[in-house]
Amino acid sequence: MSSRSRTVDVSELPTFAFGHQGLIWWGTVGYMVIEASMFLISFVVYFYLRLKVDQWPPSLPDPDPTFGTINLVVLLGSLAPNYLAKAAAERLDLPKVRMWMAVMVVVGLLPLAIRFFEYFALGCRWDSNAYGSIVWVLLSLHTMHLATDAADTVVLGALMFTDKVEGKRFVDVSENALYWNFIVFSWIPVYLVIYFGPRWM
Amino acid sequence: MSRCGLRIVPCALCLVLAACGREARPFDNIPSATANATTPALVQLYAGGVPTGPPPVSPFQQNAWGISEGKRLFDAYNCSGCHAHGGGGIGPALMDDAWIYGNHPANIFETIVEGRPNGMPSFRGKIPDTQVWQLVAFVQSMNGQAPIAALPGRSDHLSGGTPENLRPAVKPVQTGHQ
Amino acid sequence: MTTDETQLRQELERTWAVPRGIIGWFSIVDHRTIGRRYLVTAFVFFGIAGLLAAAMRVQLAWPDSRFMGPDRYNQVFTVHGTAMMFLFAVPVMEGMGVYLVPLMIGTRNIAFPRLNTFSYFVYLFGGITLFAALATNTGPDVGWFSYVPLAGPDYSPGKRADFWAQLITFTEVAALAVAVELVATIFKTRAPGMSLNRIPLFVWSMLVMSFMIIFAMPAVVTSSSFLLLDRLVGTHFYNPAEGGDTLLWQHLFWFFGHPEVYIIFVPALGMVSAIITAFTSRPIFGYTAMVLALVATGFIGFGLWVHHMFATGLPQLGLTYFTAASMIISIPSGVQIFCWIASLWRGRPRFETPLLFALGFIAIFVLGGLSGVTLASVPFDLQVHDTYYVVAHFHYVLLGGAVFPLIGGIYFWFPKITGRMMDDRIGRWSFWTLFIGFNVTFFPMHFLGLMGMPRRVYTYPATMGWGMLNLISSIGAIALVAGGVLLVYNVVRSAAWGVEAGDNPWGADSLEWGTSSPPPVYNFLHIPVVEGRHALWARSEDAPIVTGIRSDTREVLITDVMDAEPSNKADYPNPTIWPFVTAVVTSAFFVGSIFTPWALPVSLPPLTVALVGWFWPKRSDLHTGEERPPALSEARA
Repeated sequence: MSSRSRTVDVSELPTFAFGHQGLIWWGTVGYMVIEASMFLISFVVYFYLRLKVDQWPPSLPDPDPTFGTINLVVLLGSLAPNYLAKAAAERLDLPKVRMWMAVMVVVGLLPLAIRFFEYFALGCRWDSNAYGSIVWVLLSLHTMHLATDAADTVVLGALMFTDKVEGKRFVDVSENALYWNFIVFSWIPVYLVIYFGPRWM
Repeated sequence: MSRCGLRIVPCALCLVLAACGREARPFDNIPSATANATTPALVQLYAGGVPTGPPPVSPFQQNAWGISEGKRLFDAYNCSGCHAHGGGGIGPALMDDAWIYGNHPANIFETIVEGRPNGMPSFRGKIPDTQVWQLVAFVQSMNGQAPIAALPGRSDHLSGGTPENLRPAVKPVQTGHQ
Repeated sequence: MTTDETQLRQELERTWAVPRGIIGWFSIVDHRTIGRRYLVTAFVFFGIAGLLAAAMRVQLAWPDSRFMGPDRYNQVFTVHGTAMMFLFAVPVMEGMGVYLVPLMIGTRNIAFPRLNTFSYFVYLFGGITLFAALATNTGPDVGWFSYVPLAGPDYSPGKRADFWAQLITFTEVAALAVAVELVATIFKTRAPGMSLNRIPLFVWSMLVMSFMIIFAMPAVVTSSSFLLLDRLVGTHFYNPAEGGDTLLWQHLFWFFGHPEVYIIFVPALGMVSAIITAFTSRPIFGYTAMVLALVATGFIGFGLWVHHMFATGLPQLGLTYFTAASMIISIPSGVQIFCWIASLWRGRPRFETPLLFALGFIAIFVLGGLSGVTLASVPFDLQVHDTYYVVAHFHYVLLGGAVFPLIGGIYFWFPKITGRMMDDRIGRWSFWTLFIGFNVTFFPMHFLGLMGMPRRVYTYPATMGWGMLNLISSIGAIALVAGGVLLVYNVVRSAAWGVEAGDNPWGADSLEWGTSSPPPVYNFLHIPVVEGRHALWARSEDAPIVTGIRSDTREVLITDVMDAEPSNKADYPNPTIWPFVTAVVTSAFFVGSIFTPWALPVSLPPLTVALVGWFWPKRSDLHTGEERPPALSEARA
């Protein structure tokens, strides 16, 4: 209450909001833009180094795309449970959120296991030459995001099974799903550059 | 070898951490003890034996700059011509654990200055003592006998194997002539 | 104040209280405290870096001086530049933003308050690490931009260059965090009625700065990480023999490095606008043009970086493009200068200390811009590249373009931050001492550069004929130090004994002046509804206020991006120790990874613990049962 005659009363407004109407979305998107810039810079470095030599990869075999392609399929497939987790969160459907978050925990850890084999399939070490260095960095950048979001999913998923769930946790699930989408979609250009850069250039 | 510290700022932290020794850049030359001798020095130190008396201290053993200079000089004086980059060839390998005359820095110094049987030339008068000590420090660093933070990284050349700072340290063994 | 308002005030004070005690000090998530800490810490680093510069001027005052040897000198000039650019210039601007932006847009705290606290401690630890390195003879000695191969493993033995590269990591983590917070705060938490075309020019400048940080910093993160990897684990990014490239470093660094100077410069432009508005008591001439100029500067700033590489032998066609772009960027800055001059012309300016610094900025920055336009021309740059002409240029644009407005901003906002006025007479003395001292120090450097004196030399022979100008420059540096001392004296004295300022001692227009000095912990008793571009000047007698925000929990109003229509409410976090703990673990990880790659796996468990502690809600923070969910049809936005 106040002595003013004109007021704008916001007491009926929701106390949390999904998507860009909420605040967390902006933080998530902000970090996605930062990480995307890092990927873009790394792609630029890859092509910059490519254009300096004749043979690519220099004195090394082309990387074996088997595990990378398996990972691509797994990640693209993970978009479905991810979408369902996000939709369930936005419906505030706690049982479904719990189920799909549990799925996402498995789905989040599986690509990490496959990624372990991808490093061996690269056919080079980070200190073989500049090609080896940039390829390891590209893969590792993506691995880092994969690992942090997998950890995030594990913690958030665990939290959804406790009795400390409130409205903004559903927003967290939704934003985590958004970030997972970023991880999947960012894998596509990284995959193409690492495994087909040598073949197409 | 520790000459750090602005005259204004006391260097207490420096003594606590090991950084002073590692990071010093002692540009002044070490006074030469052997440069003008024309006969082999009659010293207590001799090939294969146990040194008597206090041996000269290797001034650059923990010094990153000294080791880096040694690395540069190793190619500049064509040590790599016989020893490659530690793998050996005409000369014995320097990066393994086998040391014919022992790996004490004074022994390595003697090796370079006096020469050794079977082909190691004597560089007395040709390489200043300061640089000999830098070479000594670098040779020791090849198999990890230097603090890891002082070891060189990969060189700006074709990569010839693991950089010094990534090699596992090996325990030196004195073998004598085989 | 009515009894209702008294009760509201007490509730808000309780809810938004700043915790006390030792643990409390590390747990504060309040933007004003963190903003003040940023400012104080940045100025401490400024002072140390300034003393390093004073030492350099002592060394260079006479030919063949042996006050400092070459190795010490290399460390001193490198740490001077590095500390000024990374530990002072960007953080101080961010600190001003962290303090002022929430107040200027009418909200109670910055977005993501715990991230804000985390970013401050990471910044602090980064600065301490760099100066500890300097104190242990491990100060980086390769210049503030650390070119390879000099900074590579062959030519920079030891750990000096690694400390430099890791300092980048510390400061960019902090800067990126604040940038994301500012974007979210400015876009989503403005008071109702403050549509985007009504936000103060300072807030626009913070928005542009934040976007520039977000797009530019990844490049330097990448380049410094590559350098660390090359040195620590043997990658070959900068090794030409194995397919790497030394120019890659320059491209990556300067792709960040050029926007970096605009990141520093753009907030200063916002400060000048705020000061001139207040001291002419009129709206700034050409608000739209000013906003477009800020945005244009931000965009064009990304297209200039190769002008730092004119002497590297790149193809001529490319260099021509960058010459053109480097000249074009003077146009938006010129537009701004003319708008300010028009504002001053129309109004009746009150020449108090903040305005003096704004005018000093115009004079010095224009000179710096002129030398910059000359440097944009490749043939001229090839003659003066890496000479003192360049040193003169960038000190003119940095000190003139950023530090003078910053000091003006300190004089201007000090009353708001502390509740006391700074002494205007000492202020004038400090201004003239700094202005004259600055010009005496740096103007001769143009001539030294034209006479061929290279940068970064620790001494020079008497026969070069550079002695007189260097001596004059060093004498000017004495005046600069004196001006700095006067400024510090004024700050300390005024904080203790200054005249009490009211809410709005300058009669300024923006919202921060509409609350007490210093602001209460909740910023505004009532969130206002903004009725015009100059919020206080446009405020009517019965201006509407916002009601319905809870005062028993840290509830904040979230509004729309374009028109600031009320949209929903967010619950901001209470004070917590976890951001500090996370900063400690993160910093330990950064320092450890200078020495060994095992720092990463070793740090992951404690880092995980710290982040879980940060994220895991406390039962007392829960609001289950008190929430209003969004309507399901709105949920999928």
